[in-house]
Amino acid sequence: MIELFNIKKSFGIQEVLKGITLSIPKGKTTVVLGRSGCGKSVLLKVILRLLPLDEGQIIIGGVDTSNFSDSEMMPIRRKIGMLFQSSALFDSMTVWQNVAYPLLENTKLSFDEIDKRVMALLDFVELPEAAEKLPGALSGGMKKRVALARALIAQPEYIFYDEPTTGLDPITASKINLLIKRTQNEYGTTSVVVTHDMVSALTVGDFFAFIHDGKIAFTGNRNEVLKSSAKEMQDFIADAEPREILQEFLNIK
Amino acid sequence: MFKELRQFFISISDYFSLGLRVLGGLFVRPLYINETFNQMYAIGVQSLPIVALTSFFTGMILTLQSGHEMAVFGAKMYVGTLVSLSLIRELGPVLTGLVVAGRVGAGTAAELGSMKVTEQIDAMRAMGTDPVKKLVTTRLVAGTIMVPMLSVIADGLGILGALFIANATFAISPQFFWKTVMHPLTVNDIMMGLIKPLIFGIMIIWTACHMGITTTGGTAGVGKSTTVSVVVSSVLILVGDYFITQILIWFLGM
Ligand SMILES: Nc1ncnc2c1ncn2[C@@H]1O[C@H](COP(=O)(O)OP(=O)(O)O)[C@@H](O)[C@H]1O
Ligand SMILES: [Mg+2]
Repeated sequence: MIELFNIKKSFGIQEVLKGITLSIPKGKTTVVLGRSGCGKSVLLKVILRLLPLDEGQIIIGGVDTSNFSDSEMMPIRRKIGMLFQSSALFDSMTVWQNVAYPLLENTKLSFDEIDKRVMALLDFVELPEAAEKLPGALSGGMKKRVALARALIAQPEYIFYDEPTTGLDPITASKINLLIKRTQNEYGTTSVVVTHDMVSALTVGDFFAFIHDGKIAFTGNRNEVLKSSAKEMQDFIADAEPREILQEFLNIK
Repeated sequence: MFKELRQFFISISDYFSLGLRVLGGLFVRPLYINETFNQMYAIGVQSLPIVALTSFFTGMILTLQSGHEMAVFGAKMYVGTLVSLSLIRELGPVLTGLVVAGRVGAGTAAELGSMKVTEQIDAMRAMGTDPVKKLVTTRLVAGTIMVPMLSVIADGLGILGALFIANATFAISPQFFWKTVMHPLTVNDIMMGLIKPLIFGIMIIWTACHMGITTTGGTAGVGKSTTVSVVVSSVLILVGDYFITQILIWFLGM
């Protein structure tokens, strides 16, 4: 469980997060929605303290990390897998080395054990043949899958997905959505998916939070999202693409 | 104007705090020994051809130029003395520094800069690695060890180039040339010839790493960091050379 109280974050005079309060339940997938540029990536980075926290309180698994230094954050970060918006694979390393990285850095496992786990995860993301390739030789969707394998390898308690489907074609996007759901089912991790892709959100999410103007404007489950009377939420759904798939969700409700 | 000045002081303070972080974590595990050796190879061994070429030809040119001039005063035979002192005290360290600033400094700033703008450094931190230790400390240690070595090799090859011209153009025998090279050298000259490249090595890699990991603004930002890194380290080498020389002259009483 991750709890956020009144998180604030500014860059110079630009206030991005103006007081985010949110509870992220254990073992479920929480989707944080919001338009591009509303501070979703910033929120994830502040929780990991890749960006400094200006104000507010962050409690991760019962530990108040609000005043933690960079070195105190290290063990906390190792419990959290992060899938970056840009995938952020190390482009001087092969896919195998990328996926193995957290184990090579933070554990004393034998090479055989590491290889076994890496290959198992590459199987899970359906890319076993890519092990010796460099990230430069992969498509955007393949990179996301490798990044997912890397985020999962250390068996984190939490996993953060930053726009996992943005910029992918619908078929690849639905593959990624499927993987997020399978990850949830097989590993039972507490997941946070940050996205502006409504279809992806409705596919993978258990709980939803909507950021508007630096604050949480709405929280609820799938039905509550679709039935929400909050104006910003309705506008957001009205703008969402592609309509046909979204309509199916609207019909189910 | 005020904003730029403020930004300038912030980046100076970041520059020094990076140095402190490297020092603070120098002997803290993990030490990344393998990575340090890889960097020693990249910085030292791979710079060898260009350093060798530069210094060998500089030794030749220096001898050619000063040999003719010294002949006017009838001191042609002692060209080796002039060449060895200039190479060991000044040209070896400075030329090595400039070559490394161009080759390694630019490469390092570009590599770390692209890692920064593509979130690879964030990813490293997110996986519980300290990027300063893994990326900066390893390179700084490697640079501190390898640049002085390169400089010594540059001295040697420069003198070899000088010997070649002294013999071919001015008909000075290798034995005599060698005597005139070794004769004026003192421990202080050798000290100066080692301390300078040590400081240059630290300045080059430190600057490049600082520029790299503070890169913002996408690929254009990477280009800017790379350019600034080479310009700043070249200036630091040339200006620093003067101050280091002055300070060493006071301390060593030369
Ligand atoms: N490191 C940074 N420095 C300055 N401004 C930033 C930084 N990171 C993000 N921002 C700004 O914060 C706002 C939110 O960005 P972001 O969280 O990336 O949006 P998104 O919701 O699309 O992920 C943007 O206006 C962006 O320009
Ligand atoms: Mg984002």
